[in-house]
Order: sequence, then structure tokens, then C-alpha cells
Amino acid sequence: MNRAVPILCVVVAAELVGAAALLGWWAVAPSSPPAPEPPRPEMSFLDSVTAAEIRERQEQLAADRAEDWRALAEIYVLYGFFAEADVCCRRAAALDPDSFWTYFWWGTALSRLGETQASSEQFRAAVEVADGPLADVTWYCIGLNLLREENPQDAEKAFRTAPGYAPADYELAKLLVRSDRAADAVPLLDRLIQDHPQRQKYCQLRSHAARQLGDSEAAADFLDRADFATEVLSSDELTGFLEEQIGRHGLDVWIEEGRRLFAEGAVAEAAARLRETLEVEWRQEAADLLAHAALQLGHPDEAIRVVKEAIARSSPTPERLVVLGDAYQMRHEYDHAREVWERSARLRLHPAAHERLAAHFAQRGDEQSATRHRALASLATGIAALRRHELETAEKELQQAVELAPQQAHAWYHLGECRRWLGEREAAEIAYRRCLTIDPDHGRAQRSLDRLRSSPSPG
Amino acid sequence: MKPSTFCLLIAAFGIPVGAYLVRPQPAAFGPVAETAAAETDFPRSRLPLRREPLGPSAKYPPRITNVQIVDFDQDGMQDVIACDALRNQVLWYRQSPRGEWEERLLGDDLVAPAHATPVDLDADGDLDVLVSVLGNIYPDDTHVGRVVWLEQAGDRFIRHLLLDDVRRVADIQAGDLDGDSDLDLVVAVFGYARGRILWLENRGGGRFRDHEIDYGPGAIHVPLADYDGDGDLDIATVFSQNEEEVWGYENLGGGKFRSRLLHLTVNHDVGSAGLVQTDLDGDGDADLLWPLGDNLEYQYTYPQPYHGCVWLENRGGWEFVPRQIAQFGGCYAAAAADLDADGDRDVVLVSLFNDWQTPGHASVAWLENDGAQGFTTWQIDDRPTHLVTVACGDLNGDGRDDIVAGALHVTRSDDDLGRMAVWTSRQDEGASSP
Repeated sequence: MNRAVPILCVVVAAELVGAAALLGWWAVAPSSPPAPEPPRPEMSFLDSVTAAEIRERQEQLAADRAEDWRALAEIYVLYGFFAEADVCCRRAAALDPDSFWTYFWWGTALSRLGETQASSEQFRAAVEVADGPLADVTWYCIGLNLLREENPQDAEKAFRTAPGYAPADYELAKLLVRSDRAADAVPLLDRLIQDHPQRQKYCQLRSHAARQLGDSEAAADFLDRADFATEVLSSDELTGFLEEQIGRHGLDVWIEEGRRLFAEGAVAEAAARLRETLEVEWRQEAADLLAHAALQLGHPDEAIRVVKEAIARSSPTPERLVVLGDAYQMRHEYDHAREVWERSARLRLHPAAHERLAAHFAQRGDEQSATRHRALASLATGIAALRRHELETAEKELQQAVELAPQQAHAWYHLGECRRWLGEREAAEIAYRRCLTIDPDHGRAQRSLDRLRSSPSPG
Repeated sequence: MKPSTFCLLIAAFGIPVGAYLVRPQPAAFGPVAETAAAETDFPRSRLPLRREPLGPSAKYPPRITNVQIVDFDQDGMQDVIACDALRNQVLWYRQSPRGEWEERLLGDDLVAPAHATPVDLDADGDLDVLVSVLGNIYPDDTHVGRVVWLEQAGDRFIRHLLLDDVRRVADIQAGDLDGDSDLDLVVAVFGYARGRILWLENRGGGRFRDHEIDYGPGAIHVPLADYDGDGDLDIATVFSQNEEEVWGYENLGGGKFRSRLLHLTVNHDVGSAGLVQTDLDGDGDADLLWPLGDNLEYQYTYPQPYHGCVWLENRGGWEFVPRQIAQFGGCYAAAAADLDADGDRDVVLVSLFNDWQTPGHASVAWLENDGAQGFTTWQIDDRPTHLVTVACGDLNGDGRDDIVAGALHVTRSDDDLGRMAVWTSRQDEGASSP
């Protein structure tokens, strides 16, 4: 023990010297404290790939680089860490007060936190440093915040500050219609519809405006156009933008890569990527695509396993059951395949299910059942084409459907709709009448027929 | 050990520790932001309610879309009817004997059933079920919806397709709308961007003719009541999907209806989640409860300050006065009941989109009515999370209303996968005050 005392004395002396030196260094270099740490949210609900990407951003962050703070804020906003994003944006703005995107993401984070006034302050700061189009987008976001504050007057002013930006024009038109100023909204909406004729919500709002103005014919026409429009937008532009951005990170990138490889015909590579994805986290879009890939690669057992898990985790859908049936067919279990396809067809009118069943019954010489399913496949294909506004294809398929199954009321109704859009009024009327003869309670056919009779021109 | 040696040892360990403790700290630049004003938790309720799971436990994130309390077999005990959009089934949880539940299948291969309405549609003395088939639980604007009637015929249920080739169907209610003494149907076609309000005229023999009343996206519920007190049934609905409008349809007779805007908000983000008819103030007319808190458009959500429940008080002459009676983050469904048995109507709310990352936030709350429609919010439970549907009724036969709720997990999930639960009153276990 006696020998330990001198050793301890030396250690303590060395420590005292070291500590004094450190304290001295810290005292004379107060301007360079350790860098601020970014907030690190709890990420257990995220998949490991996405969490790793976020951690990488955290680790690589240089405390004095505004861009790093902004990039971290951006990914925090996308994955719901809004409060942490707020912190990062504050730091980024302190380092670089002239970055549009810092203020934009800051405004977005505060907006999702429900801090709409603070959010609009940041959006206004963004406007200060934005060029033309970005300023319009930002005024639109300010307008949305003001709507959430139930302040339509100031929201209207914000939307008016971004003339020509379609989402802002639409919101302005909606405010006008809702405040009994439909006549003011009409020119705005007509221009939007002229620029974007297939955008459903523009036509629907135009229908409301016409109804408010007492023009029932125009209201019906625009409602019809809305009903058949092919472009359905996100609930608002900001939501759509965020969804798009999420697709560029984490596990979504792997799924997108699998999708791209599959589309390019690199099926084995696609399947490998999708299997990797599913090992990280079960995602229904990855599972559904892998089932298709497995079938193309001639692996029915894998397809069956993947589809069955998808059904257990995310419900049986007509599409999944078609793939399951295909896999059983590949294993030469034909009756099993038929049962599954029939179940798919029971869930919903689905062209693929009926095509498979038509082929199945034709192969077994059951021509009556085969014809019935061919008719239903044509009906389903025709309706889908009609909804995509591919009128020639639709007419061909629907015509085939009524030829194969003349007692199918729905097929006559949709054939009538298709002919009406093609401007074939007399032929449309014949089709509606045939529908009503078969099913006198087909209210939609009756309404279309009534409208056709009272309308000077179709559509 | 000598005191000097001991002191040296302390110093040898203490100096590095002290230096570590006094090291310069990272610059502080502000705390993580506090949220605006979303109400996410409340004082604990002292109602003697005990939670128990209902039905099998969930292996995967559950998708219960609707629960109803009804004495389905008319044996004097309340049962539960549930829609399960994971299994694509409508299920009957039969209570027999009291307190024990047996699961029975009423209908399957119903893609994403959104709502089940027990009703004796064919007037044969037993209860049938009308099923609102969404056709897809996810956003979908195609014609995948259906109106299905499950006709009770002894021990089995015969499936009738009453309407298809329509967009996603969210609700069906039955009532005599045209005064011919049979039951017609009102259908809320939710769609996605495009929806409709239809009524189906009962033509006898199981045949129905569809008529269009109105259009708009996201029609959720269509509660029927005599809203104007003129002796016939009228219709109410709420259009969601950024429209956020509550409408009434005055029955003019002969299958004609007059549209009446009851209330709208310009707040596109308010998140209409349903519409419930009840006489909340007990003045003999039909009021409406409007739960707000849908956040389904976001993958990563956050409770908002305007989430909660609005009471639309019927003042007569189609005037409905809105009053927010609760703030509740991510609120998704409401039910009216007299939970404390004091003779007035209280309200039970559940939340789908509360802040589930922080434990303790409310999933079930009740609003205690002071008798003059002053409401105090009490937290009943924080589990299960992601609750999308709630119903109240006397399940255990003690004369007090109990609660059943179901969970829907379609956004990010935590570890809690509770599927359905009942909260039954236990008079012997606690005080009867809140």
C-alpha cells in the first residue's frame, strides 16, 4: 500500500495539470464550443432503411452548414417529425437567412403542427427570397393556412396574389362560389378547364357554380364531365408534394427500383430487390409486385406464399386472387385455380378473373360458361376504357359484351353512355332502352335517357 | 487504508469526472417546439368502466371499420355487429350467456365493408343487415362500391346485391321515404373525389330503383330523422374530402327532396369523420354530432387544434347552430349515451389519429353533460389506439350504457394491435361520478 501512494500522487498531479490545461483552453477559446447537436427523434416505427438514411443525415451534418440543417429538416417533415424539423429550420435560417427552401420547409413543419400563424410567418419569409413561381406556390400555402384559421377574407387575398397558379385560382374560385359570387368564379373556372380539361375538381366546382346561377343544363353538363374526367388531383398541392417527396427516400426507393426493373424486363433483379425490401419490412406494394415477378420467373410456390401473406396482412382483393389462381394453374391445380378466380369475380367485376374463367371453361368444353365469362370480361374492359375516355375501345368491348350476353343490363347502359360521348344519340337511346327493358329499375339508365331527350347536344 | 491514500484515490477518480462535467456544452438554440393547441389527453374518468377485448386478438394490424350494438337475435341481450375490412367480413358477436361472446359470420367476400345496418328489410320479423361495401379501403375513385343485403333466413344469411357499379359506398340507412309504408334506402357514395347521395326506391320483391339526390365527394353518413318535425323522414349528410359541408335534404314527398346547406367550414383540413343523429339537448328534435379529425390524406399525421366534435343544434326551420363541444386530436367517431345515468345525453368520442408516439394520449373519451349542454371531457382509456368506430348500449344489462370500439390501422402503427374492445360499467368497482 505504501508503494501506491507515490503512484497515486503522480497520477493526481498529472490529472491536475491536464485539467488545468483543458480549462485554460476552454477559457481562451470560447468562440468555438462543440457544435450543436441535431434533435434525434425516436424512430422505432420507421423501417430500418429509412431510419438509417435519417441517421446518416444526422451523422453527416456539419453544424455550420445551413444546407445540412435544411436537408435534415426536410426529411424530418416527410416522416412526421415536425417539431424536430422546426428546430433544424431555426438553425438553418440563423446560418443562412436567404434560403427559400429553409423557410418553405419551416412553414410546412409548423403548418403540420397546427401552428398556422407561425407557419405563415415563415412562408412570408420564403416569399421575400423567392422568385416568381415559388412565390406563387408559397402564397398558395399561406392561403391554405388562412383557410385553416377560418379567415376566408385574407385567404382570398393570398390566393389573388398568385394569379395564374392553377391551385390558387381553384381555391379562389371555390371561395367565390361558397360566398355566393359564382358569376365571378365562372371566368376563372372556364380558364382552368380550358387549360386542364380532364381535371375532375375544376369541372365539379364549375357544376356547383352553374347550379348556383340557376343554369341546370350547364350544371348537369359539367357534372357529367367531372364524372368522366381522368385527372384526379391530391386533396391539395402541398399534400401531393409531400407524398411525392416521401417516395424519394428510404425503403420507398427500393420499391421504386423493383418497379423500374420489373417494367424494364429485368424480372429476376426486380424480384431480388423486392425480396430484400420485404425482409426489411412488409409492404403490400412490394409483396404484390413480387408475386407477379415470381410468376413470371416460373416460381408458383413463392407466388402463392407471398400472395397468401398479403391476403392475411392486407385483405383478399380481386387482383391478389387472380395472381393466386394463376399460380395454382402454373402448378397444374386447375380446379383450385378456378375456385380462386371465381372468388375474385365474386368480389368485383374484374376483367382478368373473367378472362381466366372464360379460358378455363372453354378448355373444358363448357362453352356456355365460357361465353358468359367472355361477356363479363368485355363488360369490365369496356367500362374501364370508358372511364379512361378511350371511347373507341370501350364501344368495341361493350358491343361485344351485349352480343355475347344480350340480357346484361349493365352492358347496355354503359354502351349507351359510350355512344352518348361519341355523339351517337340515336344509338345511345336504343342502348338505354334495351337496358330499361331488361331492368326497369335501372335508375341511371333512366336518368341518362331523360337527359339525352332534353339535351340539345351530348356531353 | 490511510486517510491520505483514500483522498488520493478520490482525487484520481474525481478530477477527470469533474473535468468532464464542466466541459463546454453544445450551443443551445431552442427547445423542440410545443404543439399548437391540439388536445391529446384529458383528466382520467372515474366512471367504473372495465376494458376487455372483444373477438380474437390481431396478428396483423386490424381493420375494423364499424361496430354496432343491437340485440340481433332478440334474446334480450345486446350483441355487437362488426365490419372487418381485413377479413372482408361482417361479423356477429353474439352474447350468450351474458358476458360471453361467440363470433358468427354473417357475410364474407365483401371487399372493405364500411358499415353494417341491422334492419328488418323484408318485414318478416327478424333482423337483416345492409352492408355498405367500399370495395377498397384505400383512396379509389373507381366504381368498386356495392349495396348488399344479407337477408336472415333461419340460420343462414342470403346475399342480395342491390346496387353495384357505383363508387365506394360508406353508409346505407333504411326508412320509408316516399310514404308507401315500405323501407327505402339512402346511400352515401363516398367515392374519393366524386361521390353521390342516392335513394333507392323499394319496388317490392327485393327490387330497388336508384335515384340521385346530390353529388359531392366523401359522403360519409346519411342519418335519417324528421329534422323539420313535419312528420316524414329527412336526410342529413356530410361531405368530407376538403369540402367539409353538412347538408340536409328536406323530404317534400313523392320522392322529391330539397337541398339545404346546414353548415360549412372553409377549413379544408378540419377532417370530417362522420355524422351522428341524436337529440343531445332532449328538446324533442333531431340534432347532429359532427366528429372532426380525419387525417387519412397524410402518411405521417399529427393531431390538429380544430379536431374534436361539433354539436349542430337543431333550432327548427332547418337552422342548425354549430358549437364545438370538445377538442380531441384525431377524433374519428362519436356516440351519444347516458354514461353516468343522470338522465341527460353524454357523448363518447374515439380517436384514430392522436399522437400515439407518446404514451398516455387518449383513445377513448367521454363528454359529461351537466344537464344544460355544458360538457367536460374525461379520458376513459389510451388503449387500444387507432380507434375509428364506437357504439354505446347496455351490454351487461345493468341499466347503464357501455361502450364498444374498433381499430383501423392503415397508417403507421405502434405495437398496440388491439382490434376491438368493450368497456362495461362495473357498479361494484368505483364511484359513479366522473
